[in-house]
Amino acid sequence: MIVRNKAIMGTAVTLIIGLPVLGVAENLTTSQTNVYGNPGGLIDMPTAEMAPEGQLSTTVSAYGSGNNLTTRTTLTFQMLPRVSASFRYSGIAGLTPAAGRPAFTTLYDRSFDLRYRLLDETNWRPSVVVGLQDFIGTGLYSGEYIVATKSLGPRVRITGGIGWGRLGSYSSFANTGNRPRAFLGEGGIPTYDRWFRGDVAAFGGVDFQLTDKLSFAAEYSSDAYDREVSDGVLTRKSPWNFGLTYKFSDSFQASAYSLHGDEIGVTATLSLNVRKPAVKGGIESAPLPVAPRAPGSAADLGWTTDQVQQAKSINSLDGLLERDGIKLHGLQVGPKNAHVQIRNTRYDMRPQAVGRTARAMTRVLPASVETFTITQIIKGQPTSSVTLSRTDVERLEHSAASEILAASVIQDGAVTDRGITLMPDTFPRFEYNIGPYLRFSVFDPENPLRYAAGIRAKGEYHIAPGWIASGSISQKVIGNLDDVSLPGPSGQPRVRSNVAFYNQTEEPTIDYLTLAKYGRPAKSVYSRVTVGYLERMYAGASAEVLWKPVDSRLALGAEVNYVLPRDFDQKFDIRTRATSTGVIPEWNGHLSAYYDVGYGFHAQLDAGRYLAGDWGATLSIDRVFANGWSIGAYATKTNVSSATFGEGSFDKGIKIEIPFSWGTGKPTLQKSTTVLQSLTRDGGARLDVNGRLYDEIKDTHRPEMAKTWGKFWR
Amino acid sequence: MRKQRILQKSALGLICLSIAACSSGTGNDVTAVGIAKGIVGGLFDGNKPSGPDVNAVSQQAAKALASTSGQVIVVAIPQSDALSVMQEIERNGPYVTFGTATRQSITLKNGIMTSSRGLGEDLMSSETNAVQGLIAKRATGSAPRINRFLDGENLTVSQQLFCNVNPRSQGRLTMGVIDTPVTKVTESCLSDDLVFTNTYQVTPGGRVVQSRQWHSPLNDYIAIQSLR
Repeated sequence: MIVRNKAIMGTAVTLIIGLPVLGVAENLTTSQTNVYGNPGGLIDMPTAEMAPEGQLSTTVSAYGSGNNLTTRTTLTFQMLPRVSASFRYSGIAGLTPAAGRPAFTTLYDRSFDLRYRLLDETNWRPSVVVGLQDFIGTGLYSGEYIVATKSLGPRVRITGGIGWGRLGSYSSFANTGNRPRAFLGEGGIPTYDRWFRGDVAAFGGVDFQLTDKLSFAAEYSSDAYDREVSDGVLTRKSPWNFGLTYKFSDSFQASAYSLHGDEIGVTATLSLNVRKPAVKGGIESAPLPVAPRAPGSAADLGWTTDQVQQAKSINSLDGLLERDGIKLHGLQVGPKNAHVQIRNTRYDMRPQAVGRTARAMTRVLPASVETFTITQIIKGQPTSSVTLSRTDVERLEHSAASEILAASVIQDGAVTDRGITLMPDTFPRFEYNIGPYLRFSVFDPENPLRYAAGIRAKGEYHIAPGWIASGSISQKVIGNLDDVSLPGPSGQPRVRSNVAFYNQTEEPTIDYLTLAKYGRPAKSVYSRVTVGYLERMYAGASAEVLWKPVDSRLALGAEVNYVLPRDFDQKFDIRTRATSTGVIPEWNGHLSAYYDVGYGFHAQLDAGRYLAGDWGATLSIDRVFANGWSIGAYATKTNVSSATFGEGSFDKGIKIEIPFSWGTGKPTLQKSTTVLQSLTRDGGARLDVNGRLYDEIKDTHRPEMAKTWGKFWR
Repeated sequence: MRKQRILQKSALGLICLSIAACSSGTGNDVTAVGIAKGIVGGLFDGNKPSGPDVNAVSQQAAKALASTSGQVIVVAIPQSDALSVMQEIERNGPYVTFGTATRQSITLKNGIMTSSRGLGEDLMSSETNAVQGLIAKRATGSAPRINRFLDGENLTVSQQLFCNVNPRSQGRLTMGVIDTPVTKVTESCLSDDLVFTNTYQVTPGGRVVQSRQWHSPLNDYIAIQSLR
């Protein structure tokens, strides 16, 4: 037992003091953000600073009050050391609607920024960044800039730059052509026709670090706030802005600033870094060490005829694995080799499950067993098999993990799957859980936050290898998701836009109720057939096949679905396929390609027929981290015109996956997936069936496992 | 006992001093509890109400010594005020792994920590042969060392260190069944972004019986005392 106590006690065991030296000089990085939520030490103007790689910050800023309150909520992600991307949701009260636009009291607007650092700072040269602000859609905040920042010692950073659009609207000194004002399509399309066009103006400022916690900034703004001034929301008395920022901790800072000599504003920034988990490498119970065999013991084969000893070994193995959250699924033990199939219920870093199984095997299997094969079972099917020599496990326990990886053979589980005896408790078995759920819709132009919360029970009955009956029932307790208004008529059948009707019932709902069969028809091939109530809105059948060699970064898949719309009460009834705007087609499906690009990027392309019968493709690009974080964006373009699709022109969104182990330091397979979608429309909508193959099996294959193979010895 | 307490209170904190005090305080009637108390007292002020439960740890040490013929160590992590008795649970060649009932472990190779588990920011594995040769011989010299960790993404990071080993003062360490002259040896290591100095008490036979070794930014230094 380790006795732990918070009180800090000095103890000079020796008189020599060791201390970690600070890391190499950060290349003009900052955890500060400006009022647009972009990394930077100024106020309203950009700088050429970047956040540390992997930084994810939420900045809320506000100025004005009552009927001229402006708020900006920005999510910024430093996806690469030189690239940051931001998503912003702004609320501006007091503006007059533009001609032809719907009326509002507060204009809710969404915008995206992208920044790229062209040049890193050197001793003599400033860092240079080019940025696009609000570069998609309505372009309320649209502006482009080229900005340079130079540090003068550790405390002072000086910034100067030129801007277009908003940033070229005050005291411009040049003009680079005509800047169109009209939207492209129905908004939601990159406004490339405006970039770096129109009036050009200069801006600049200085950021001074007063103490470790407190900094001061002064800037000269080139944003005239034309629309705010003409609508009477703001009086621009001066181009000068001043701000003070206080850093409470690495994760929280707050600023107060004066804007244009007229307004006082405040900003709060919450930050985390996806590369800085609760505990680096995690913290979990120590594994059992390898038990090396006594020299010469491997020759003893007496146990092979001793049933009692065999049963005892298997029992012990089952017990040791159970203690570590690993279920013994099936096994085959011969005089010289052993093959165990496992179900990993705990380790998001799959090599850890394999490594712990290998060590447990050294402790309980007879000494003559020299070859270990460990197969991970997903949905009742073998995915990947790791084969190791026991001698290597003994020899390399205290060496670099790369050595045991080099000594491992990773094969397709379908190839090794023979002669296995399933454990008696493997089939049939029932698994369930009951817990709260939260479903929400944020950043909608009509309402910043809608949600529904309640209680949900889920169950899975594993009937035989690959056969799974599963269901989920929920009861809403509270929520306002049902007040989403129905968008106006479009040229498409209502396949998703009537989602509000599905949120109206106050009675228990069946979220899904399906029978699925997973299979391994051939080497590198995985299959799934699901029938029943597939999701909240659709019932029917879904069939999928995936080709993914165990050592490949590329996978190809095909899925075909037959669907019928479910009744709004989400019980057992089916409603008619006819909607006021068209008939929902019975068939949809996709061909998919998945590729681990490397450098921390993953790409997926799905092409096919969507729910409303429209044909097109979805491209998803994610920045993925080995610890399980993934932050990406997707866009779907189908043969539906922008006008038919409605506001936003086409479907797009942001997807964030957070592994719980990052937050707690403890290994767990649980993760949270959040999709920030543009408006729920009918174009580019897909069926939401459970158990799609790629996401289920990818982590057990070699390319993913090799990344975090260091966890093998954890 | 009084002498022992005075020495503890003087808070010199040097393990070796408190151990000397311990052995003289208990005379020939050396008990495991007394031994552990001596060590614990040297690391933490026993009178401080918020310190680790010295008596509990002492009793664990006694129990461990009585129940096993293998090695037993006391491990202190001053950074988190943690103190524990660890028993030898496995031996793989020159590597001896010590563990606690709550599943934390440290592996030593000839007294040098080569890995840990369950402590957070764990040392995954290390290459210590070159420095170990110098330390065992109590010789002056320079040698490379590699420490491996997992970073925030669970990727393996190899820390390449360059270390200077220097013998320092000589003394005597008396501790339960251990009663031996010792040489204090320091190992000062340097890499791009890290500097630390480990200290070892080495017997004439080259065995490390007491040490203070760098672990990680989270745990700082770890003090290890052999009880057998």
